[in-house]
Amino acid sequence: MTGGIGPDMSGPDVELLAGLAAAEHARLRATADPATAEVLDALAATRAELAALPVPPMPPDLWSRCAAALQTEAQHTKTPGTEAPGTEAREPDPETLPPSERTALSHEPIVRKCRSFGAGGGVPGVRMRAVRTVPQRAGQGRARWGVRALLAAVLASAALVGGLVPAARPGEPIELAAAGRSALGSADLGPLSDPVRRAGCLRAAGVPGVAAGAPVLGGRRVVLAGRPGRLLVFATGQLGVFRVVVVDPDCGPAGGTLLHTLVIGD
Amino acid sequence: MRPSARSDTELLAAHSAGDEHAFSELAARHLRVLWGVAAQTLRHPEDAADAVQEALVAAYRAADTFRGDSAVRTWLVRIVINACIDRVRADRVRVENTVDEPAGHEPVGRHPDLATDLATRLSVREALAMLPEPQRAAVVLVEIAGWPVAEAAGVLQVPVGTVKSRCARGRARLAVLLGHLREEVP
Repeated sequence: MTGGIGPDMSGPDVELLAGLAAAEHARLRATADPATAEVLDALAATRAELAALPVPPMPPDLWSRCAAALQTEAQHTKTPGTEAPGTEAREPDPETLPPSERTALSHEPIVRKCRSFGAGGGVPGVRMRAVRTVPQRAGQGRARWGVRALLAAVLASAALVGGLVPAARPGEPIELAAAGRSALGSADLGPLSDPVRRAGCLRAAGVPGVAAGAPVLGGRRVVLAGRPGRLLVFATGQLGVFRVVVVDPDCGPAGGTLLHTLVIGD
Repeated sequence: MRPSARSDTELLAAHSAGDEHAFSELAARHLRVLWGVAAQTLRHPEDAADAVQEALVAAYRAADTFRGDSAVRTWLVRIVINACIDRVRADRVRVENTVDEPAGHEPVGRHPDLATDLATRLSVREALAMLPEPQRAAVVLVEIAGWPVAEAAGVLQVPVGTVKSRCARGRARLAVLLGHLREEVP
């Protein structure tokens, strides 16, 4: 069946709507059960971490390497109709490449020897690393799922994204929703990385909709209307929807101020 | 060089017809996407760069086999994914044959206490590396790169439902590996 939901389409997609209605019904039923809601939170946190995983920067010499490999390939296997000798991989438009790549294309010689395609075992440069596996528990039966604190997730991903999150400069206004998204998976929690202090802070600040022991999905420093604060991101139990909370930097069991809170996502 | 107005399909056809510049223009056009997929599928950037290079050479050679039943970008990404999977499997064989588990570093899931879990918890990239290759590819395309499920299915050449189920299983596994969920022995 064709068609969409919007008014410009040929008509409502009944199958799609039926699926969405069933999913919404299931979600509402699931969230009514605390244990199930916790699992949904955990899955939402997992998706958030995945979505926040940054692409590593492209090596500056990647295009040079590929161009050299293509040139070598062209010299070995002439494509049909090729007449001119010395076929070269043509440089791409610099506008389509990052600045570092543009520099490499323009000024740097190809220094890395091309590796032939299809090389098997014993390829130089391939490191050997242990691939750990999780042991299967024979006879375990149906596993019961439990939820644990997410702090470790945040801490472990800090090295991946922490350096990419821009630090808000003093006095610089920030867009809180964007800051919240950028904080997902980041671990700049400061003193609030201590779960006891964080729980005390959340109680003292009276953050609505966030339990004192709620797992935090990310954090960063911000400056909100000239006032420094610590931004924290929490799951809401709804997939892709998060609560962003900003508290004062000294927030703790002894006292704290809620500077702002909002929900992001759809 | 300025980019031409030729489409991906036209560039690939031109390459097959002997245009010596067409393929490099096509490769440059999609290099960033190909890099992103490889870099998220493999743990180490050096391996990802090698996989992209290998895939481009493979695509260069196999241009004549492109039948137009998918977008050229989909075809290129498929080749990159295959190159990544080949690399993972080859690396795994070497590791299993030559490397033991580091002393004192026990696999995830054996320790019930939070302190140990904090110490042994995996990063996202480490966790991804522990997924079976089909699940990993689906998760990378859909959950990380944000591709529509249907397009990911085209890349992986499996039904849409298969991509969904692989993503679901991958998410559940990752939730454990990342420490969001814990399997408790009754």
